[in-house]
This record gives sequence, structure tokens and C-alpha cells, in this order.
Amino acid sequence: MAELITLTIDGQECRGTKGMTILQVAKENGLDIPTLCNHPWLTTHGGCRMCVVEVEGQRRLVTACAAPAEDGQIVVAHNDRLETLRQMTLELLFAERNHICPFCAMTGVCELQDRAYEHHITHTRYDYIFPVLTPDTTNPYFVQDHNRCILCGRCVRSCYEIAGVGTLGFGHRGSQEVVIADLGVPLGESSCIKCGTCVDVCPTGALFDKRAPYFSRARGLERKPSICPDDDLGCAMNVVLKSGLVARIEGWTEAPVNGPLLSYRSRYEILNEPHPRVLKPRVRKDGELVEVDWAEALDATAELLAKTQSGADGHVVGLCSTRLPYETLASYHRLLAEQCGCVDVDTFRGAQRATRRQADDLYGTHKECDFEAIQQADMVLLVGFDPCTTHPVLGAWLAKKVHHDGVPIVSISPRTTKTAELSILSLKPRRGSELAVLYGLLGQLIEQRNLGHLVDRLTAEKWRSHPPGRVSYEAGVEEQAVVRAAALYAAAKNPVILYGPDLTETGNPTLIGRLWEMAQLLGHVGASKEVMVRGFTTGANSAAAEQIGFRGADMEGAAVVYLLSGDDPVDLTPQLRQDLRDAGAVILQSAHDGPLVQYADVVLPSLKWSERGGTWINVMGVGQTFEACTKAPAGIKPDEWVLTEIGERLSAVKEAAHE
Amino acid sequence: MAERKVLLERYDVPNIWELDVYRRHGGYATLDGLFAKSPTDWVEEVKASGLCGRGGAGFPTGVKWSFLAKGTGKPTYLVVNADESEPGTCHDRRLLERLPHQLIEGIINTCYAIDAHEAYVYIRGEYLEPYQRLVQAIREAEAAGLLGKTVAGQDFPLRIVVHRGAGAYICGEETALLSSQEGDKGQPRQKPPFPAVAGLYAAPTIVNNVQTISTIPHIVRHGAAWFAGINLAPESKSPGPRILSVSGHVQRPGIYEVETGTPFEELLYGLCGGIRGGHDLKSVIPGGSSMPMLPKDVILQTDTSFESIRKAGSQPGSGAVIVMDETTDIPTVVWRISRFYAHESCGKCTPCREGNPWSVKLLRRFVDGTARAEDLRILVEVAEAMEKNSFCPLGIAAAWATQGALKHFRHEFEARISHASAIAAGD
Amino acid sequence: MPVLSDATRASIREAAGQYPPGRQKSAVMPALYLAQDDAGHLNPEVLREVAELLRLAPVHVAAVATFYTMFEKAPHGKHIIDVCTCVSCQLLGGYDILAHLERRLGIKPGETTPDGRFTLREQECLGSCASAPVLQVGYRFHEELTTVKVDALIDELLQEGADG
Repeated sequence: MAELITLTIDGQECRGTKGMTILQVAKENGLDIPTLCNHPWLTTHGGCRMCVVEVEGQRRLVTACAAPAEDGQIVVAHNDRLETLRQMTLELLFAERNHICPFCAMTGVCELQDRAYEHHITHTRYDYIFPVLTPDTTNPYFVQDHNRCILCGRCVRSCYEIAGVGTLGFGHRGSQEVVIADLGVPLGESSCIKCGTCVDVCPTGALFDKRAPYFSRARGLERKPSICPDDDLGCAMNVVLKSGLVARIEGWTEAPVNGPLLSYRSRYEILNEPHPRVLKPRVRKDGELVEVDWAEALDATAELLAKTQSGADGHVVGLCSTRLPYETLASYHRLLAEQCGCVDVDTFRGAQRATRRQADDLYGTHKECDFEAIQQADMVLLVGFDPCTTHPVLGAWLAKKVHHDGVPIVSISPRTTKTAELSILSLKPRRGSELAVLYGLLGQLIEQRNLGHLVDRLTAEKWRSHPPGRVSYEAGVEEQAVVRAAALYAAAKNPVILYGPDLTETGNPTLIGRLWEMAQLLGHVGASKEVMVRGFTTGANSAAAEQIGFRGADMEGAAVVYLLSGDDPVDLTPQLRQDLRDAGAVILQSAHDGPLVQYADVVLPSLKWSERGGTWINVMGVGQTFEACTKAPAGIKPDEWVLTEIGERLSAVKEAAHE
Repeated sequence: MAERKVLLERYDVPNIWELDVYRRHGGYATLDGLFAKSPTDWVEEVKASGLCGRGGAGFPTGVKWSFLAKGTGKPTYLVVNADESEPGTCHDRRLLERLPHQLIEGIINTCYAIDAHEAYVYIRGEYLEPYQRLVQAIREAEAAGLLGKTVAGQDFPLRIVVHRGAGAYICGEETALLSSQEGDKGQPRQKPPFPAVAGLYAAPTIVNNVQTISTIPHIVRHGAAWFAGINLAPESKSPGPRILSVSGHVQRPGIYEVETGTPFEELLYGLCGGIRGGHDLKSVIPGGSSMPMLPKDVILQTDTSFESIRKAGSQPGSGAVIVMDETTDIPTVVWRISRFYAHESCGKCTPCREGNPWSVKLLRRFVDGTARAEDLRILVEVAEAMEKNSFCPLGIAAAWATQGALKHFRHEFEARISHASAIAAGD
Repeated sequence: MPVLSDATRASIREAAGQYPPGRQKSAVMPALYLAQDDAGHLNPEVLREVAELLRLAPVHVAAVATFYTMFEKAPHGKHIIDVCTCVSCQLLGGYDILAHLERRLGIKPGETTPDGRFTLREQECLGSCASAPVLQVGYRFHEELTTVKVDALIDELLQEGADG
């Protein structure tokens, strides 16, 4: 229980708890103390000197952002003397670089501008310094304009503290100080992961979104939380709307999983629509897709689905996106499984889940680690997983572990991964030879830690039969790397093993079995806790799909394929292409006029991410519910309405058949 | 009146920086009695001596030691501030160059008292030769069993690591020094926590200056009472011998070790031989460029005790006495001092980062005689902003230089306001 | 490809070992000194290698390298002459010494002679105030200067170059 304290700020009695700063207490009690460098997401800097206050009994002024609030304190936050000092600080800042508001992309949503108005800054009495500084436009998503920078360090802190990468820093010193990336390279060529957190926290126009300059005036903006549909972490974000349209996306302080951190995909890429919308239903007539009204399209859909129900014309296969909300997935599954009697219902990327399920069947279910365990891990082994690419927020957490705590990461993947840059060691086996590497590691583990007695003779022999030399020969990795990887793993107290799509998409459950064996082995020899494994998949609602019962689909000899892709950029693999060509008929429910359309016989419009609401369940089982942020264009019906309509028509057809 | 040589007593002994020479002259004798008393006894002894830090702030050393956080489960560190960079100050360099073993002896004494087993000396980068001397002395001491797994055969391990700065005045500020030593930019940190609670590597840390630590063996050897008695000013609570660097317009600039309370008149006209070339004295900065300057009539009524200097409206600071004769142009001196702070500002806080370049430009106008009437007012306001609102003492010091000069020599600035601009401004 | 010699790389690792475990960041300044001695100045390749050796973010190494004046970010002359003009030296003719060197070497502060022998710089207080005016050549002090002494010093340095 935190100790309650009472202090007086500007004559008002304020309550807080021990450990809060004067600024926090003031804010909590509805009092305003001006700040610039302070930001609730970040550690205290204390550099801008806007929040200076007088504390009775203290000789010097203190910064409210840094000073601990004490019981009985008497604080003066506003008087003429403080006002003069704040004005002087603002005047100094305005003379420093170019802060000519009308020409700034962020005018209207600028904290420096706000403070200047509040403190009646009308001019500066000193010659403007205005050094010549070139804006950096090399980042695809945002611009860094040093001319607007007040050196508050929010971007630098966010880059290290939240994004974990530490791309940004301060170069030089004093009035020559400037924010630099890496060794002073343009942002676009730097190690920046383009998460955009720095843009969120920048108080001025020194960092701004390329998409929304001169646009995001404070007036008339609305914010609604939503979820990134990309990966299974469950990253929530704040959608900034203007006149009902998405202006930009911001980090959301209350996001339960990711906090304010977003990936470049959830913040920027999501706003790029590579294909035009499907605005009206279409039906193929004489080989051509022709726009029709909803009734005709729905009838055509029901007809196609009904024909296959007798079984005479083969079976229906359903494939659906894991980005959709739980409710839509459930309706879809119900329609196909219950009403069409279809057994082949799956999601795109269903193989990722299938492999895990098969591993469960073969080796029994094992405890998987949660985010907590990942945060506390002192060693991370990544197998077939490139979180920096597929799960960038997790990638950033790992970067933080590496940069802040020096935690070693070992990465095993046949691909060249982005995460390899973070790894102390990365092994790149030839595709298909991952198993040899895992045997090699197991062999090394029993060798290095004398664990032969823990497994039966045959198993031990099998593992020993993969000495580093053989692994090197079979997989094309260096012998020493195998030895070192095993040693790093064996030395850890709380290691975690994380695997991802590159492993599960191999369809080989044995690989997962070997990971569990590795975990158990170390669990026996003094790793302080159970060593844990965790698999990750793409698509925000993969876990929901698993719960609902999507179980795998056999496309062979499909009469009708019903694809519910929404706005999922489905990976059109040669196999899928062939399956769609071979299918008797293809129903496509899609938001975009993408490459799938060419295979479709019926095309139904669908919603995109911002237009749908519902529940998403992340990889750890955390459920989050969001409402739609934007309205769908006229004529586009919600996915669930479409599914219900199809269901009703199907029942009607059935009844007609019975009669 | 002569010098009171304690720390500098052996200064002129040939090759005193070598271990055996230093030992022949009584060096490391304190190790005989050191371990016989408890660490706490020594902290009390240093408290009782009244020794105040010689680096600039003048805080009582023993009191600082007693603030060390206990039972943190972390090691305690001693960091010796050898980043002497305050303009006008050059005595720590001499202590390092000629008497490195005196410092090492002081480090051993101090580490025993505060129960530290690792000491770092953060030495100014430009002091290459002193650095080499110190490293060499540490090697000798290690070889002689005075440092290492045991100290003089006692079950007391001690390691000294010398860390070189690389050209940043701000690192003389203790928290900036710790940031720098930790491998960051040398920027000051928020206090609290104070270093004694969370300093180097977030562990309890004592930061003391070279001269302070070099004084410790003498207190250990002769006792607190002896030290407290070295005091000519009865009301002074900052006793002891103190080394002053005297530079500028005196006949014999140099470093002088004097008893607390020695009148400046004796220092300047006795020890230093008076003002050069028969000129008259104009002004003295008594504690390094960071401290307000005092005019002749004030300084000649002042003595070297902390109390006397403070009463006169300045600060004892680093003990750098910068003497200016009547030929000195005060605006030019202040402009140059201001340029120093603009160059050394770390950039962390607005008033210091931006206020210093403003001041330099304004002061330049006074040097050139092109100042506008309002420039004097802006100069005063910028100084006020820096003094009241800077993150660390650097910005405050920069303001004091200007404020001190304006307090006593305002007429010299007013005389530089250009007539044309005064008319334009309607004055 | 490493740009630093094996010996330098080894010394950097050794320097990191001086600090408590997990505090290798403390070695960034010693490492930059070692790298500078090896490579002449700290170009981006050198900084990158130091960052890799100490497992630090490159921006961190760049920030430190640009904060401190003694880390050379650009090529410089064989002899760096640092002339102090700060207050104590100013009072005793530091600027005259600097002006004399400007004339003698034909360059302004911050510049290097065309033959690459000398880089001239104006410095802040060098800590030799009681022996003002002073300069340093390669961080070795030359004190109580006069223009005559400065000329003799330059002659000596030129001679050294001619011999070598």
C-alpha cells in the first residue's frame, strides 16, 4: 500500500502517493505545470527547465518533473518570477533554431507553440541564430527536421527506452548538439526500425508523419483504439481520425500488451492499400466477372454451396483470414462446418498451427512461456523465427534485452534474418537440415553438461551421432557455432526457446519435439525455472481460430473453395494458385481487388481492418475487444451480415429440397 | 608571512614521484597506524579535522563520507576527481605530476575509512604527462604490495583504475564525471539521488578532489586537532593548509600552499611579489573563473578562508586566484570567460545551452563598442535565467562571471554602449 | 574487415576488463583513445568497430566521440598545436601567441598546413595558468611562452620532421 501524502501547490491542497514527482501530483490534482521535455512514457530528463517551481525551504528552484513530492511540501508553481524564467526559456528556444510556425508541418499540434501562446511570447529580443540544418527525408514514413528541434531528448529516450534499438542519440555538445542516427547517417540508412515512437513523443515539428503534415490540427481530431491485425502479439494502437477518416496512427498508452510501442506495419503499412477496394459484388458470367447486386451475388453463393452439400459434386473447402475478429471467424466456421457439413475449414497459414498440433499429438502438450518469462529470460534461442520481421514489437523487446541487459540471443534459421543483427550468434542451416542442427545441439548439451544419463541409451546415441562435424557437413554451419550455441544455452539460468513461422511452416512436428527435449534437458540441471518454449504465428487471431476449431483443409478435389480474405494480403503460393485453378468454383469475400480475384466465380465485398469490430485473442490468450473506427464505403456490408444472409439462403434452399 | 607547506612539503625533492624516494621522505608511513583504528574512527577523525572539499563546492569531507548508504548489497566506490579544468586552476596537475604517491596514500587511507575496495581516478585528458606519472606510480605501488589483493600485508584488497577524460570541462561536476566514467556523454544527472547513495554504477560512491584526498594522509598522520589548528581566521570553519593557483598579473605567479585565513594582501603582495610592472591592482577572481570577481578594495579586505571570501560576495571555488591589473579591460575578460562556458556547455538544459552563446554575442558587442542600450538589460536577464534555472553549476558559474563583473564594473560596460544605438533606442 | 590492428583490438578488450562485469560501456573512452592512436582519427568505420567490440549501439559511440574535444573526427596534421587563450593566458598574451603562430604557419585556428605538418587550434584552459601563456604539442606542455620561444619550438619540430 503506497503511503499517502498531502502537499500544497499554489495554495491548493493536493493528494498523492509517496514516490510521485511534484509534476505527477499536480497533474493528478488537475493543476497545470508547463513542460516540454517531460513525457509520461519516458524517464525524466529535467533539461528544458519549463517546469521549475519554488519549494518552501529549498534555496534553489526545483524541476517539478524530477523532484519527489513530499508530505507537507509547500510548492509555488506559478508566480511572476517563475513566469519570467519560463518566458526567458521559451525566448531562448525560439531564437535557437527556425520555429516559424506557419511553415511548420505540425503547427496546431505543437507543444512549443502551445507553451509560447500560454506564456505570451510575441517576439524574441535576440538575433535568431537559425543554423542551416537540412531536413532528413530518407525515412519512408517520417521526416526529421532539425530546424524545429528543441533538443528535449524525447525521441532519443523513446528510441532507447521503448523501441529498444538506440538508433537516435545526441551528437556533439552545447549549442552544437544535434540528434543523430547511428554514426550520423541519414535515418533511411540507419538501424531505425521505423516504429515511429519518436514521432509520437516529439513535442514540435522536428519529427512528423509524411502522411499527415499540415493535416493533424488539434481541432476536430478523434481517437479510437484498434488492433494491429498482423501478428499474434495483440498489439493495440490509437487510430487518429479526422472527419471520419484515418489521419494517422499513434501509440496507445493503455495498450495491454504492447504499451505505446507499435511496429512500422501497424503504424504505417496498414494505411497503404496496394489494390483498389471491391465496392460491389461480382459474379462470373461467360467467363467475365460482372458487377451484380447483393441479392444476386448471395443467391449465387448459396447455390454453389448447396450444390456440394449432397456430396455428389465433391466437397467445400473454406479458407479464411486469421486477421478477422473472433465473431466473424466463428460465424464463418459455423456456416461452413454446420450448414455445409464441411470438414475442410482452415485459415490461410493453417500449416503454422497444424505443425504445432501434430507436435502436441506426438510428444504431449508442454507448458509454453508467457511474456513475463520472455522479459525475464537471460538467454533467448530463436528457431525458425525472425521476430524483427514477423513480430517487430517482440523484436524490439528482444533488442531491449540485448542492449540494456546484454542478454545473448542465438538464432537458428535457414533464412537471412533481421534478428540475426541482434544475435550474438546466428546459425544458418541449409533449408531442410534444421533437424541436424537441433540434434547437434542436443548432443553438445549432454556432452558439455554430462547429461547422458538423463535420456535412454538409444536417444543419447542418436544425439551423439550428430557431432558438430557432421552437423557442419549436413547443415553447412560452422562446427564452432554449434558448440558455442549449446554452451550459451547451457550456461543460462532462465533461457527461453522461441520458434516461429519458418519452423512451423516446414510442417515437420519433429523439430518442435526436439525443442521440448532441449527445454527438458536443461530443466534437469539447475536452470532455476522450467525452461520454456513458445511458438508464434502470423495473423492476429490465430489463437481464436484454434479455439473455434479450424483444423486443416484438404484442397484436393475441392468442388467449391470459399475464401474469406478480408484485407489479408494472402500469400498466393504456387500451390494455392494451382488449388484454386483446380477447384470447381471459387467464392471470394475480399476487401481488395487483389490477385485472388482472377480465380473467383463470385466476389463479395468485405471490410478492412478499421471498419470491423470484435474480439481478438493473442498468442498468450489475452482477449481484446474493439469497435470499428471508420465506416465502410457505401454498399459494402459487414462480413457477418454477409455470412448470415448466405446461411439463411442456404437453409431456404435446403428446405426447398426437402419439400 | 610564508607558505605553510604540508601537501607541497616534499614538492621540490628530486624524483619524489618515485616510490623509494617518496618512502625515504616519510611516504606511506600512515599505513602503520591506519589499520589499528576502525574505519568509523577515521571518518570521525576527518569530520573533526574540519577539512572541506578542495574541488569547488567546499563541502565538509568527513560529513560527505558519513552520508554513504549502508547495506545496499553493492560495493562502495571512491572516485578521485582529477579532472582539473576550472580556468585558472593548475595545482592538482602539479600534485599528480610530482606527488602521485601522496595521492595513492590518500586513496588507501580513504578507501579504508569508507570501506571501498575499488577506486577510480578520473583524470583530465589533456594531462597526459600527469596521467603517465600516476599510472607508473600505481604500478610501483602494486609491485611493492601497497595495492592489490592485500594492502601492506593487511587483509584489505584495493585496486586503483585510472580513467582518462577526453576534453570536457563539465566532467569536473561530480555527476557528469560519473556519467562519463560509465561511458556516457559527460552530462550531469539529477540529484537526488546523491552519489553517496547511488553514484558510480548506481552504487554508493564518494567523489573527492585530488587535493582533498592528498590531504588525508596528513590528517591521518598528525590528527584532526593539528589540522584544525592550521587556521589564522578564528571564525573560519574551513581550516587547514590550502593550495592556491595564482595566475595573471603578479610578479610571481605559481602555486602556493597557505594557511586558512591568510590575507589576500599578503598572498598577492608578499608571496607573489606584487603586481607586475609596477601597475596597480584592479580586480581578483578568488576561486577560478566560475566565481564572481572582486575589485581591489574588496579583495584587499579579504582573507583566504571560505567564510571571508563568501562574505566578500564571491566563493572559494577551486582556489584559483586570477589577478588583473589596472590595464585589464573587464568586458574583454568576461567575454573570454563567457566563451569558455559556451564551449563547455554540455547541452542538456536550455538556459546554459542557449544562454551562453547569447551572452558571448552580447559581450562581444561590449568588447567592440557596438552594444545597444538594451543589450545590457538582456545580458542581465540572460545571466539571471542561467543563474536561477540551469541544471548544474556550469550555467550558474557562467552567470556569476557576468554578474560579478557587472556588479563592480558596470561603468566599463556602459561606456561601450554605442552612441548611435543609444540614440536609436531613445535612451 | 577490421580496420583496427589485432593488437589494438586486444587492448580494447583488455581495457573493457578493467571495469566491473557488465560495465564494458565504461571502456568506450579508453577504446576510442586506442582506436585513435591506431587509425589516426575516428572515422565511421573505426567507430563502428569500437561499437562492435564493446557491443554498444553505434550512436552511443558516435555521441561520446563527438562530445569530447580530444577525439579527432577528421584527419589532422602531424603535430597538433593547441594554444590556450583562456582567461589566465589571455591576461598574459595568449592571443599574441596564437596570432604569432597564425602568421608563422600561415593558417587559421582549426586549419592544417598544406604540407600536413601542423594543425593549429585555439584551446580552452589547459591547466597551466601559473605558467601562462602556454600551448601543448601532442598534449605535451610548453609554458611561459614568448614569440621567440614559439619560433624556436616550431624550428625544432620542423627539424624533427626533416631528420625523420
